[in-house]
Amino acid sequence: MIDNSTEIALSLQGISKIYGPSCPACIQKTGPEMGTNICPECGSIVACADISLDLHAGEILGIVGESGSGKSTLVKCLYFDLEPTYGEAYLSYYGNGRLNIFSETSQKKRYIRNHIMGIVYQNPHMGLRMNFSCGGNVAEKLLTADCYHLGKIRHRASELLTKTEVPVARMDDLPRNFSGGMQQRVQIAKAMANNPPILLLDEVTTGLDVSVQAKVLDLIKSLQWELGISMLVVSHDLGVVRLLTNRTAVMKNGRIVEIGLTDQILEDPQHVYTQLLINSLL
Amino acid sequence: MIKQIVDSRKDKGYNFAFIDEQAKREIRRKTLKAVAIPGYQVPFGSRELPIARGWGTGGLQITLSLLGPDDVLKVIDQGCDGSVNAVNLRNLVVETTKIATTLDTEEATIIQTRHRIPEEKMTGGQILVLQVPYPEALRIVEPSEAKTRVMHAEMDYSKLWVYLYEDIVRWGGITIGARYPAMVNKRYIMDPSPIPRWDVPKLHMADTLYLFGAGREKRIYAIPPHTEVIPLEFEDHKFRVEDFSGLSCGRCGSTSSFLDEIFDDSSGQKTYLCSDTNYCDRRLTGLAQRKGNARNDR
Amino acid sequence: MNDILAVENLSKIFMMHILNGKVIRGCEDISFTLPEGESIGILGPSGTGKSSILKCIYRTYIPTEGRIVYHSLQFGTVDLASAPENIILALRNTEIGYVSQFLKIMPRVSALDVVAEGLIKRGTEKQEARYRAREHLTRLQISPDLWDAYPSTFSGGEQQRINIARAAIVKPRLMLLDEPTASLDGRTREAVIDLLLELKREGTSIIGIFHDLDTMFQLVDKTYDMSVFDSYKAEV
Ligand SMILES: Nc1ncnc2c1ncn2[C@@H]1O[C@H](COP(=O)(O)OP(=O)(O)OP(=O)(O)O)[C@@H](O)[C@H]1O
Ligand SMILES: Nc1ncnc2c1ncn2[C@@H]1O[C@H](COP(=O)(O)OP(=O)(O)OP(=O)(O)O)[C@@H](O)[C@H]1O
Ligand SMILES: [Mg+2]
Ligand SMILES: [Mg+2]
Ligand SMILES: [Zn+2]
Repeated sequence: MIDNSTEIALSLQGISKIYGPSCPACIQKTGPEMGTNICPECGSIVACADISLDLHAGEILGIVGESGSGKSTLVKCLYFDLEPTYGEAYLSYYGNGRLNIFSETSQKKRYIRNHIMGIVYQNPHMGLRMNFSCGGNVAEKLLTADCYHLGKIRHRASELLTKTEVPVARMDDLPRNFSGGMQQRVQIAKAMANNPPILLLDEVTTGLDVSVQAKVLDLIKSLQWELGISMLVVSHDLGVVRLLTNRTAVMKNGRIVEIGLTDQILEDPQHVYTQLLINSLL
Repeated sequence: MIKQIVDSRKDKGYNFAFIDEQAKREIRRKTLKAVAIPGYQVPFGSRELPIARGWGTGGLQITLSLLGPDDVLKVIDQGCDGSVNAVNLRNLVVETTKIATTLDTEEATIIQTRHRIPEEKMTGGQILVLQVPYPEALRIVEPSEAKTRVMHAEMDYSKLWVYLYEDIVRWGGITIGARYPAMVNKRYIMDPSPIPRWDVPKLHMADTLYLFGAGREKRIYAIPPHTEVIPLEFEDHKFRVEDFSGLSCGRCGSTSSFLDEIFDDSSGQKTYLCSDTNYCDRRLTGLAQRKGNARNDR
Repeated sequence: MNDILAVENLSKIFMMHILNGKVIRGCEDISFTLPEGESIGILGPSGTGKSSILKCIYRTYIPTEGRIVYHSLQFGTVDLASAPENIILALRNTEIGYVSQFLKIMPRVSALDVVAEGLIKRGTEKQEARYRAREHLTRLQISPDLWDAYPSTFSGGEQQRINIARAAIVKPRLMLLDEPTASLDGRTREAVIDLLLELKREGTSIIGIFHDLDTMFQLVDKTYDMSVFDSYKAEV
């Protein structure tokens, strides 16, 4: 539950995702101290475990960690792409922050996906329908919000594409033919179509040219700045996190090992793993 | 009545209306469920019929399970009572039931059809059974049956809407001719079977019960009388039926019926004829008009 | 006058896990108070922990021991050593400013917008914020040619002045200055001192580290000497 007096947009409580049979030892025998996310007893993969954190309204929170540490798993659980094995999540924008969104009906979950949260996937193929035009991709979201006016849909789509700096002239082209950076920007436009108060961004800049990266990062910054959207930004790039976020959580073997102010994480890392991560950067 | 059924069975060794009572009960039960949930596809169990595909086994099973000795059946195929399919189906029913059949839309109590709804307005006492080759309106956007079921359950229709959006953007208009999807009772999107767009508005707030049967996929769905059926359309891009303005039937002169284009090989000329042959015939004999007047006088 | 800040037995020890648990002393057992509206200068040789103190107050470093009692307008009495992160962020936004020893500048934002950002964040109209930013840039003698350029390409001294303007424009209640005039020449240093004195007159309390004593004594009311503290430690 979220206490209404605090300005928490999203509260995660003990989220775990275990692949495999799972046994009583799974949680205890995995994690950063054990140096693995594979349970030695039953072989299950503890992709993430005991994830608790609060995302404040208007905040960009970073999640960093090495490949396989569970970042995408966490984000996909939040967007209901995966069902968490344990855990609860509360949204201040839904049911007054009193309802665990994981135990809502799938219809309600769909409402949350389309109206309260937007996602940008690590892989554009997950977020975009490549055989729909890029306007159609944005339209899909608008149509879930019962906007059945073609003119209005196209107007809103071109507004969003302008904002994300995708040439409006290419609105009716297939994103398949777009560059990686443009695909990510179409994903962002799509994610924002219904003005969700929360965005989940998974490695938005990975694999992009440096100059394109810069544009995408500037866009994200301006979205927070102008629209006050709360965001969870997943990246294994500390530079991205340094630029975008005020607070950062560090993940390792499926756990959060440290969470703090981003400048503190960078300059005074507490956990062994964070120190390694920061040092490998320099 | 029971005697009659027993008699007919004795005659040829068939049960009344060919299929056994157990199977009929299953179909009737599922038909009732379909009526109770307008537009929802109800799965039904059936043994394979010894009838080839393309014969409309889905529609036929519904018709056979509904028929009673007093029913009057009309069978049409693409608007025509005389096509091979229609004749064969009619013969099968007559053979196994001895019930009366008709070519006259007004006289029929049950009409089995493929690809058309009769032009004449049907009444509350009648049932129209449509043969359905592909019952799933969402199939064009989602190949998986498991997923389309979830989409219906959650009323998650945005994919189909985007399909229409893309159609308009790419081709300047919606290119769907037959099988134009419609929203039933503000809840389920339905495939109205391959009727032309022309016929879709007839489903809306009709007096007649419409039943849809898909044999291969074993699905029954229904539009009960007085149900809202709205073809998918954008507020600024409305659904439109086929445009026959300036054309008329080369036989009866009708300017208000669905016309088939006929290409005459010898003359090289295009002509248009009513697709509903019974409607055309009745107009020719003037019957339709006279009856119409009589009704109006009342 | 009431204290705006009281540092009580503050220590910062760095535990270097990756150096086999090596321990590095940042600062140890620091105590001082700062009355509201006054300024204090921290003195001492390189490596004695001056910057560490400021960073602990700003919570870039997590203090190992001690309390940092800050009297906030918004939240009342807050221990900056242990307050929740969102409180710290809110205070950074509205009450506590920090000018770092080394500039960390946002890429691809013009000098004008870097300076104006804080005001806009607090709700000032963009036009007005830019106007005030121009005033500050003029005052700190940044050539107008540079206003629309990205500070990442600026000289050390220019960057430093951008940094100061950025912090000063919002008139924080408490200003932490880590060698703000280190790379400035005499003329620009005077401009910075002038601006900081004006802030002080308007009520800002200041904790500063200054490499030249001349500048320091123009600005501070009292000093905290780390070398004294060091020799005191040595005696014990
Ligand atoms: N479907 C699955 N079945 C089994 N294990 C899985 C599955 N999906 C992910 N995992 C495992 O879960 C762990 C976390 O994966 P996840 O994709 O969340 O990592 P990540 O932090 O996003 O990594 P990256 O930075 O490479 O994207 C990994 O060990 C991965 O192999
Ligand atoms: N993030 C850090 N991690 C590890 N050690 C640190 C860190 N920051 C400071 N130290 C150490 O703490 C001690 C004090 O450093 P600090 O920067 O506070 O000194 P200073 O008095 O500001 O020096 P200078 O006058 O050179 O700026 C030094 O030994 C330094 O190496
Ligand atoms: Mg990932
Ligand atoms: Mg220093
Ligand atoms: Zn005709």
